[in-house]
Amino acid sequence: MIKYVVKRILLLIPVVLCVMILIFTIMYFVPGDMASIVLGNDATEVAKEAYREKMGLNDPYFVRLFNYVKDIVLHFDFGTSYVHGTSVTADLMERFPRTLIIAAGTVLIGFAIGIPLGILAAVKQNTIVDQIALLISLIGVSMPGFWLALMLVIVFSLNLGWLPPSGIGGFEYYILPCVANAVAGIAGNVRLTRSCMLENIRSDYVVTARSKGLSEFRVLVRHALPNAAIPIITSMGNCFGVMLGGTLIIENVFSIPGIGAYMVKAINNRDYPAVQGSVIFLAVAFGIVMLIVDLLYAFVDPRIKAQYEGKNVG
Amino acid sequence: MERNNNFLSVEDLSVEYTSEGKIVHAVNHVSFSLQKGHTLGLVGETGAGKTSIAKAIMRILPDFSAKVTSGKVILDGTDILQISEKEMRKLRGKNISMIFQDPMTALNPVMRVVDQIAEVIREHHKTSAAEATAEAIRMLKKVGIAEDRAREYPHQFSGGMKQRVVIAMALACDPDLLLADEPTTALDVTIQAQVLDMINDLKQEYDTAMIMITHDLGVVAEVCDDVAVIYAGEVIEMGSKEDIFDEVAHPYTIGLFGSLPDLNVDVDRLSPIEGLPPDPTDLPHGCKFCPRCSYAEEACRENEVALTEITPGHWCRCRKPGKKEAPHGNNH
Repeated sequence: MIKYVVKRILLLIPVVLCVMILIFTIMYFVPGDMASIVLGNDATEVAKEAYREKMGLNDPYFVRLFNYVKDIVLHFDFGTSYVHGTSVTADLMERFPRTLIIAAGTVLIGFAIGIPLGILAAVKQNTIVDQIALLISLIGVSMPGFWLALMLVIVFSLNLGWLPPSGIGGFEYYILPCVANAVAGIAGNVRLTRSCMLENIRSDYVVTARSKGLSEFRVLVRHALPNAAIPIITSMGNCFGVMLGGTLIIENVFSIPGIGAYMVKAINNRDYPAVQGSVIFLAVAFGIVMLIVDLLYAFVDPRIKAQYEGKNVG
Repeated sequence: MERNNNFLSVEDLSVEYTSEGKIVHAVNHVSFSLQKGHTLGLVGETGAGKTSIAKAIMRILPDFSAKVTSGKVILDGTDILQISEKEMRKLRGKNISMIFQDPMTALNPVMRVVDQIAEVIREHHKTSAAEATAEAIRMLKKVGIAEDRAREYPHQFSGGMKQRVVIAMALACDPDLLLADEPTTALDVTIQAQVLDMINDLKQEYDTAMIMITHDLGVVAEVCDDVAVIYAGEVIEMGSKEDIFDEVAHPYTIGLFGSLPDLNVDVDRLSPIEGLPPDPTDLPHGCKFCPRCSYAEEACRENEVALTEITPGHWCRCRKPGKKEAPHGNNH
């Protein structure tokens, strides 16, 4: 098992390298003159040329690529933002925890509500309870996130005054963003859990579990749910990974300086090092999340664990 | 079969399924009884309703599609179809337990086998987890599975071993009534004999009453005291094993014996019963077997045939029981 983990982590290296090369190359070919953007269009050609020389923009493609990758690998240095002159690494490290909290909170809320509701819908299939659960999920998916976010702010910040409307700070600042962000996900989770549970609820081993005299709750939670968990974990990992990329709308509504807002601003400013840095950072984060998901599979299903271990022996 | 002092008696049991708007008459007015320590064989083709009978006794029929429409299941004086689900849960696994047909799917794939057995012990004996595990390991040893394999998962076991686990699970709480649903069908012949021996030994050790569901007359000969032959959800012949094997009366049962190959006679082809079992959504009028019966007459098609006692303890649902010879003479 440990061997498998190590192997997976090593496999991340070529993936991240490819992402680095790819994003660097794409940004290299993006039209637009950095010097004009930074110095303004009316700057003199001499000044622009001096800037290009200073920033190494005149070096050949391969030299620039090599220097870029070398800085990241050896010094964990994603370069300096053209626009702000700050270190991209520091910028990212400052913003990442905020995005991480929102992503984790969103996924947690989404599944804490979605899974029980999905189980309930499956158990009471084709009854009024099922219909209500599906209706709730339909309403959830139909509400645009930004609208819900604004409504939540009106109710909980302006009218009730319970929670801060925007900005960053303590734990309470993250409650509304996470809730607003989670609602759309709940719908998917309800449907996914419902269908996974329906598949398992009628299988033979569930009948066996019932024939032992176990309570229905134990049958569902101890027997059916772990067997239905694989797709749910997959979806959870995907959700989490995507949200690490920033939840732009939510970050904007609540004025939270997260990765999403940072990246979009960088794209608008043609701030190449910032864009490249964010993308690579996300690729690594996503890769790690997927690794954790794969390890969770092994934890949930011994057959998958056996596969992992088998591969290492062979 | 005696009607008094019965440990289990099933009376007039009917089960219906609803499937695509049609009503499937899976079990139709079945009655039988069983004494403590005895084994009743339920014999019949696939789809005859044998498993539905067992699941109805356990009350584990799928509640979204199946319904017990009539009948009583009296276990030790109590009609267990009438008690609450909570009380039923106390009986399930403890007083009544079931060995399932397909060991490949009957075990939870993501749970250690020892935990699956310990779970039922904990549920009913309220012991600590450690005691339940120790007891589960003892049960596993009893069915021939070594302790060092107890903590493995079902996928690491062969089919025969899985079936042993299922048996150990069913016997873990020393049930009074064991429902064995084709416990050997999924196994190859050499393992079949071992498993049957094991069930027989364990049954004698615990003095358990058993219903053995099977389509294999060899299994019946080996383990059963009494036999009920089920056809289209009805008991069509019932009696002691000797009655059924030596004094076979119903044309269908005769056909069943006739379809067994005779090792003493060299035959090129087996002689199956012609035709297929009737569609349970549209059962024939009159005798359910008459479309396939070579002795059927007009009267068979018109009137329902009652189960009548032809000799003491030997019941048969045929207007002219025992009048014919099996197609291949006496195969027994």
